[in-house]
Amino acid sequence: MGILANVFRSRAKGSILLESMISMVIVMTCFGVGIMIYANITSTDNNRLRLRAELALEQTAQRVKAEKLFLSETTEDAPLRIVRIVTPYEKAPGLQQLQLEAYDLEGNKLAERIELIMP
Amino acid sequence: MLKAGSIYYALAVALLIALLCGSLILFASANRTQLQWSRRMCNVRLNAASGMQVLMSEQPPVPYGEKTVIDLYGRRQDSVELQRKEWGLYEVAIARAFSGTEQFLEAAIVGRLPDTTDRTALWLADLDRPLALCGKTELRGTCYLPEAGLKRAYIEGQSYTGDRMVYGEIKKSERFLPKLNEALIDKLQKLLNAEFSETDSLGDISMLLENDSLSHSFLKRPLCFYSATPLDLSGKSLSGQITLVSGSAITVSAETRLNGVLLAAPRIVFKEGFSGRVQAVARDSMILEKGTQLLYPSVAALVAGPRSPEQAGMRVKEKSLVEGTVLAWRAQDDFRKQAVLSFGKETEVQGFVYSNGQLDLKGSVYGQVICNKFLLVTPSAVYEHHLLNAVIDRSKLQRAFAASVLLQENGKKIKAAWAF
Repeated sequence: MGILANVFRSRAKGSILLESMISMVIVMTCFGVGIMIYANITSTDNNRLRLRAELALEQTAQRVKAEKLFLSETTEDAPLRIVRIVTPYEKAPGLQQLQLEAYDLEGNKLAERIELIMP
Repeated sequence: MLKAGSIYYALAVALLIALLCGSLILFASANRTQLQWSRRMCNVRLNAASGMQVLMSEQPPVPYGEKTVIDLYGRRQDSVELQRKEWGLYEVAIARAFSGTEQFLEAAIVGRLPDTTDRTALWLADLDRPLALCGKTELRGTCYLPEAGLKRAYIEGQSYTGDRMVYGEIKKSERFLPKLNEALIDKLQKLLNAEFSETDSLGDISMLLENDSLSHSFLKRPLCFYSATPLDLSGKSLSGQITLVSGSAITVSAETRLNGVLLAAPRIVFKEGFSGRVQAVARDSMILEKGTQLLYPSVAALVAGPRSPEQAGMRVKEKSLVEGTVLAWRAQDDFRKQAVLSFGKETEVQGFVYSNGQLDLKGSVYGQVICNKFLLVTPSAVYEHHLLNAVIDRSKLQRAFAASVLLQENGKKIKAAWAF
């Protein structure tokens, strides 16, 4: 009797189907949220293209000042389009306002830089 | 196979993933905040630099001594507070850009780029007499000379050794010197009379005498001291926007440390071995003893008034160096009273020399000389309109050298030094 009782007591435990499904849903939801957060982070302000656009504007500004390219023009620097606008600054005669804007291929403005320069 | 209770495992994994996601969110948030701060600071710095450009323009919309806030581009996000004030023969420009709690400030001592087209080396008034050159005298650059021109001479056993009289273009000068900025002379005379501006802070002279070291920022109001008695600055260290006026005399020794300070007194003596940045204005006499160094951007000015003695003058003794402006001026109301400016052997000026009296030049000027008359004093005789072993070379002056606002016709504004 004692031996039989032990056999019945040592029966392997199992998961019911409902429990397994809930577990899977929880894990999948967590992974899904995690992937969404990751995707969100990679597409926020500090994405590479925007940083690249800012650096491109910085370099353009340095070049414009060094080479005295005080004319408005648009240049392509794939995958960026850089628009340079030079206008006289009204509040102080003799100064020029240098406005640089960087756009992506879809025409979204990625970065902007405005400064005053003395030709 | 998982044992029964696998939901606990799932919850544990979910917790781990939630922690990971939470840390990612925090990281992203910190990163974004840092990036936004960095962008804002870049923008603020750019606006401060643009504000400085506004101050460096010919007609800045900012009156002297007043703080003016302007919105640079009319976007209501580029506010800059601008201020400019006079500092001796230079100007101080301050631009403070701010956005929210962030701010960035630029302050500079501003001078002028003079005569960049002609690059004149010498402007000598036409008194109907030629200029005689002797020894190793060298004139390099455009020279405005009397119609009588130049001649070679033989003095003290030395004849002119150059193969050309002028290494540059010769143009005809006029009887009267280019006009000085009269407002500047008025300002220096007021300073010598201890007439301070309403915006100046007048300090007790005991504060200066009791402290060995004093520093005053250019961002504050000028700190002025007046003493009716002679002042000896031995062992003192003065730095910044400090004006020191004595009704008698000021002595500066080799142990004195001066940086950007303004001195004014009837008599000023720089003792042998002094080195520093200073603007010094004297009324009766100024002496720079042997080996004195007035570093860029410095000023040594003699502005003789009606109360000055007949022999008002400035002596720059041998092996001294002045980087900046040397001015010797006297009102031309009595032709017998002329300011005398003399440079000893091996003296060097990097900058500009203006004398409406007599100039005895035995050293080198790498820049420009404007004078009424040359006077050569030797142990045996005194010669008028002679130069012996003197060098005036404009080509050795740095192109970005900022001179003080001496003449009425001035060039483009340029930063002489950053202020603090």
